[in-house]
Amino acid sequence: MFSRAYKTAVTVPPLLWVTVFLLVPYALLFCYSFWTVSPAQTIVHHWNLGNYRELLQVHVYFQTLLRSTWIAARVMLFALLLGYPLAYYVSFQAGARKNLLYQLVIIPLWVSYLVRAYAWKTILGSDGVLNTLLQYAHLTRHPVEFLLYSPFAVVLTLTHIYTPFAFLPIYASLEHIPRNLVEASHDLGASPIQTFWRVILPLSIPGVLAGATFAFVLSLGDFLAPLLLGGPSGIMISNIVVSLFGAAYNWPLGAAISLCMLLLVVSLLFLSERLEKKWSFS
Amino acid sequence: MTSPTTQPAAKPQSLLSIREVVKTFGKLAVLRGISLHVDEGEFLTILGESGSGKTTLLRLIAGFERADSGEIWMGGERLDLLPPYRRRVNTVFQSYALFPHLSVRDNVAYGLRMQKKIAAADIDKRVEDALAMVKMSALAASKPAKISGGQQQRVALARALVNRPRLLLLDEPLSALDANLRRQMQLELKSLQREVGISFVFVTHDQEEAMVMSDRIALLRNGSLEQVATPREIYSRPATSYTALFIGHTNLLRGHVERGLAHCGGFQFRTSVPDGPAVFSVRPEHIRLATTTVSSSSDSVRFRARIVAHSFHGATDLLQVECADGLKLAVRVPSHGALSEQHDFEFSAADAFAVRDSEERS
Repeated sequence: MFSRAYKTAVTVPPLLWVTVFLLVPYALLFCYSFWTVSPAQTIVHHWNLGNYRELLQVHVYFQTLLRSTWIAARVMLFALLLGYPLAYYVSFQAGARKNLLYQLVIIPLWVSYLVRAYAWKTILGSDGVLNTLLQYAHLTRHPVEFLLYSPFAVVLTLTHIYTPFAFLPIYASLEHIPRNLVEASHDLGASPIQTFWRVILPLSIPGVLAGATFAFVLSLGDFLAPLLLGGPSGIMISNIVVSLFGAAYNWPLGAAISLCMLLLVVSLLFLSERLEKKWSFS
Repeated sequence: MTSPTTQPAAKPQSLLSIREVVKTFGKLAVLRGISLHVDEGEFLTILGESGSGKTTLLRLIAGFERADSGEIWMGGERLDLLPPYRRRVNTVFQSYALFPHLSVRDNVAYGLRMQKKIAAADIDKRVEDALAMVKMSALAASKPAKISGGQQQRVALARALVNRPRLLLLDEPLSALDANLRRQMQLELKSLQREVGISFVFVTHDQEEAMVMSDRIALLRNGSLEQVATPREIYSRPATSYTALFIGHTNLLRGHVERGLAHCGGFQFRTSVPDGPAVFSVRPEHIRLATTTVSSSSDSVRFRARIVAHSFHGATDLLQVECADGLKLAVRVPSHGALSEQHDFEFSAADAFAVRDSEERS
């Protein structure tokens, strides 16, 4: 079919790319996680498990990881709760407006992440849109402070940003359901609600799993939203990694945390892939 | 289950009645005022070319589409006002539409589980019976993707019939099967229908299939019914030239009638058709090779023609012949050896069946 030279020409560049920009950095990260920082602030190539021991012993790391997971879980839940009905509506009910609505969901993805995060800052801040409105309506006398710089703000912003990522795979899986299955279900006496639970939902599980994985994994590793809107109580694990690689100059510990997260994310992806396979029937 | 077909002399009651149904998609008129009835225990085939509106008519009965005007009644009830899940009608879909995430058994049980008043043990029993009826018990635990097209077809049939509908709709269910399996399924389907005694409305574009299976055929053309009759009648007494051409092969002779004598090209024969322009259908098997030198009977029409093509079809041979005036005719004769290029042919005037010309409507 294709000549050997052609095959080499198309496969080598991507392989090279993955090796240089993915595998090598991960290998370096792996090595760093077993090294230490000397009191003189130099990295000593002395192999030991000290960084991992520190991870288990210092509470703040574990707590932050737990908080990150909890934030990501909530974002995932809200993204699914918003994304699924929206995807269902666009796929099954929107009729002629289907493409328009689909585009409306996609368009926010073209806006910079930073702009969207800052938008929430303007909305939630003490001089922000929401507080002005509340005071104008005489619902509060003083600005409500808990809105911004809290895990709530982080969850809200991340949900806003990652809902389209949950929407897209769900929408794709709903679009793949042959419409005659819905007709067959009605034909056999199932009401629209029964049809949803017994046919549409089971057949859209792969999309739900993919959407949930996207929302969870992307939120878990996020560091801009907590940086801009989280305040001290909304710090996530990536903020710690950033500071360890930056101001704190403790690359080995940062590498150890990164590897733990990587392991967590890869196992999640693996699990989700397995489940998706189990739930696809075509 | 009682079988209405076994009750002799009882006049079958009309189960389904379609009255002046009109359906348009945008500007396209798909059904232009269809009136049709289906009797209790009847096998009715809606036959038509693609785009004739036959599937739309089926979808209106099932409830997947709403008519623009007209009514559909079933047993004293306005059917067309009910959602599909409230109609005692089940459908076998063209592509079977089996639920891919459910086993064969769960697919068949689906409809029964939707009805709240059936006990689980009864459901199991009825599902097993339905699977046995279509010989699919052995594969009850399989997922639809793991079984063949013919097996999926049987499951789709069992899934519909297990609900004991008053009417079963079948949308070209055999079109995906290969020719041999299709012929076998035609006979199985027909005997199954006799067995269960449920009225079948079967949609197909295959006139042979329609002839083999149906009690009556409703021939649909451009959204209007061309003719509704038994297979035998629609073949031997086609109402229009379109019907004559669509059901089997035929030769159309165009001409006019003057004082009881038809003039069609070079042919002249006695007819009871009133004077004026007329179209006659002469089936290829009604034209014979003339063996004697004179006409065999007084009403026989005799002509000489050149054989332009001669093909072997087993028991019969199909000839393409060209008359002196250039008119081409198809002739079906019992299998024959080589024939001379010119030959005498004849048909009896009684076999020239006058049909209404449907040319102007195409």
